[in-house]
Amino acid sequence: MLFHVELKSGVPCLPRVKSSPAQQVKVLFFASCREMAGTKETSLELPGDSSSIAQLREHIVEKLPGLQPVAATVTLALNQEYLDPEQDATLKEGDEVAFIPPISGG
Amino acid sequence: MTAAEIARYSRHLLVPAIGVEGQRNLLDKTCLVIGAGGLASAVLPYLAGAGVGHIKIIDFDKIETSNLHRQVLYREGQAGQSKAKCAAATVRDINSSIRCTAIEEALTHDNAMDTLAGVDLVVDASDNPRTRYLVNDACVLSGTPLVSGSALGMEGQVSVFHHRGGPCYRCVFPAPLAAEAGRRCSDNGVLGTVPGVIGCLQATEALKVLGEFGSPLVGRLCTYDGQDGSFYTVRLRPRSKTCAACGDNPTVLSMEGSKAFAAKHGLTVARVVPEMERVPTATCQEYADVVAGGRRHVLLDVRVGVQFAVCALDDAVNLPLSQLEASMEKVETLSESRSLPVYCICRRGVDSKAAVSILAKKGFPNVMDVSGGLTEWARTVDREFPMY
Repeated sequence: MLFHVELKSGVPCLPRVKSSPAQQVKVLFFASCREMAGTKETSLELPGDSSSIAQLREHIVEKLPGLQPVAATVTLALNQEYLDPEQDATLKEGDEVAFIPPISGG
Repeated sequence: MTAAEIARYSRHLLVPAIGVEGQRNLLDKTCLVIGAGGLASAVLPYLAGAGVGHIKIIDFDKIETSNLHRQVLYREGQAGQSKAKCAAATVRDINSSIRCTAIEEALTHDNAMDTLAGVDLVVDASDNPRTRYLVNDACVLSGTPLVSGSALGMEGQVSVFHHRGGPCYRCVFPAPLAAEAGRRCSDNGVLGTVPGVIGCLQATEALKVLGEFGSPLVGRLCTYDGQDGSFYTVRLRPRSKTCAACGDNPTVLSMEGSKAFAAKHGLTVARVVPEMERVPTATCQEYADVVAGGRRHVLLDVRVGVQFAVCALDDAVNLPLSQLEASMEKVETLSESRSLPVYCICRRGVDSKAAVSILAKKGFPNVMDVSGGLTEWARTVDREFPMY
């Protein structure tokens, strides 16, 4: 159904429509994160066309709650390139994000 | 180079990238290997064979039977002997023309700078996060490159840190994962060959750095997955300007600073036994008396299934701690509607306390922790009980 929203200026405008569908991102898990996730790999559907690493961190916990203890802090790699710990980045369809925590055994 | 050296290292000399110059570099250099376990079992023989002029090995530990499946440097008859000493003896057997120094001590914040003095390269072949940060900080403070390797389960990682402007270990892993420091009874195993694979990669990187040939694994982290035989290499960020060790305004300015960091993050020498609330407890002997007296009860073994399969007490029911909260009906049934006493046991008596606490909160009236777990059982009640 189409409806109009009146702005203060009186100019009618359409409600914002999603410009692109949800995007699929491939997520890989290594070492202790693999244990926590219970899987080596999953694909995550992120809403909208401008989802970020920060949003991915939030969404992944909903899907794989075992990752809760580390999801916010573990360093991630985007398309085989490590991100700075605090760094955010915009994701695009088909991106590959890897959870690669340090291994300390030997 | 002497005739003997030319004969001995001829197959290095014939590799164009190495040549006489590369081999001379190796013969002139000193390498410190931290830890003489699974990784070092691969690293040390190759460094010795390659003719690295002076190899220093530091490890405080003794050889145990459970090491032999992966620490192929050692023999059955050496159980109980010093790893550093036995490893050095093997290094000298392989190559009597190089120097080898065994240091039978733990690497600490206090002795790290002295230990690294005069060293051209450090190979981190240790097995714990405390040592990894300590080694990194000592390398940064002394300007020594670091070949870091690690292995657990069927996976391993290797990289070269603090070399040619690349990042240090701390740039990549600024702080240990809370989940890592808090790991409890559930120790993980390792496929024996995985530290071997990683150790070989570390030795390769070490020879390239020392011999000054090839392109060391700087700014890249190589991960190996033995389960499916795959390598996954990620590019690392350049040296981090905000790194506490090697950044523009470092906060780890001495090994004292490194020590403070370790304390802040709970990186202790001893196994971390978390502070736990007090729960009702039975000693192993008291539990043995319950069994011997034929008193009816339930014994919940809260270890993970893979450990339970290795060994367990008779009549123990396996209910891993992680599944306990979701398994109340099962405990209800086993305890015959809470009429039987419930004993909880694990490997060392940490997870079992958590289990008792959960059951008590759920209103089970008679729940007890078997204090010290199976380790204590094997020590005080049944010396034949297998421990792993």
